[in-house]
Amino acid sequence: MAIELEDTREPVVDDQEGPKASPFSPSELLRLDEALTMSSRETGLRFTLYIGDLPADTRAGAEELHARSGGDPAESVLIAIAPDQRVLEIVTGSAAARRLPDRACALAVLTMTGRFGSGDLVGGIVNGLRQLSDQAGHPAAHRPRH
Amino acid sequence: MTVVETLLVFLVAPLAVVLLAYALVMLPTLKSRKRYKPGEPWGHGAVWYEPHRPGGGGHGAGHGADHDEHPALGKQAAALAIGETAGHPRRTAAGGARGTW
Repeated sequence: MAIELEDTREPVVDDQEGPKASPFSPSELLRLDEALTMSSRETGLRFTLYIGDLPADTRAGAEELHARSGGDPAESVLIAIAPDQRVLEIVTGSAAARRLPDRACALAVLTMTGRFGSGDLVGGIVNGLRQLSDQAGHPAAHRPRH
Repeated sequence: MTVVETLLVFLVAPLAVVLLAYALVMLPTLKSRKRYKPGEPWGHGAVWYEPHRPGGGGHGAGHGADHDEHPALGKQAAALAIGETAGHPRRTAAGGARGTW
């Protein structure tokens, strides 16, 4: 005699916001957007921010993302954050790396991970961006005017 | 003053005032979304934010009179899918740093 098995599985996400909802509130998005835009405008570099899962080899995954980040990859800086893996990767292009040496990036990483560890994602990102753009400086100081 | 009146004035009324203040303080916190806590699953899809383009061309750092000093929130909070183009075979990364928390 067959026993009717009830489907007792629960939906993976029973949260009303759903998995596709933005992880940030509008005011947090505003802060992120202002930080990204202002640091990109001040430095002439192109800062993009990725938040999501990275492959097991996080460095290779972040470098692949950097290659696809649009614009001129040489001048772009990718900040990749994997909250589940608790990994932060900063990838600089060839032109950006001249103005943002690895030591400066490591310092920004330290600032950001310190904030992330206490649960402040947005604060860490904003401070890290500020630090990176301070280090990179203004493009006029680095590029001769044509 | 009866016992009931005394209780109402000296017990129920102060309690109501305290509860009202508590509700006013706690309500915005309860309504806001969950904060990120290290170690808890993230539970959101991947997002990729890019900066706004500078006013003119790519090297237009000297464009002083930018019209979008205070653009609308909808424009500001734009999460863009900018990884849509086919993958480049060449490696573009030249440096960077890595950290965990």
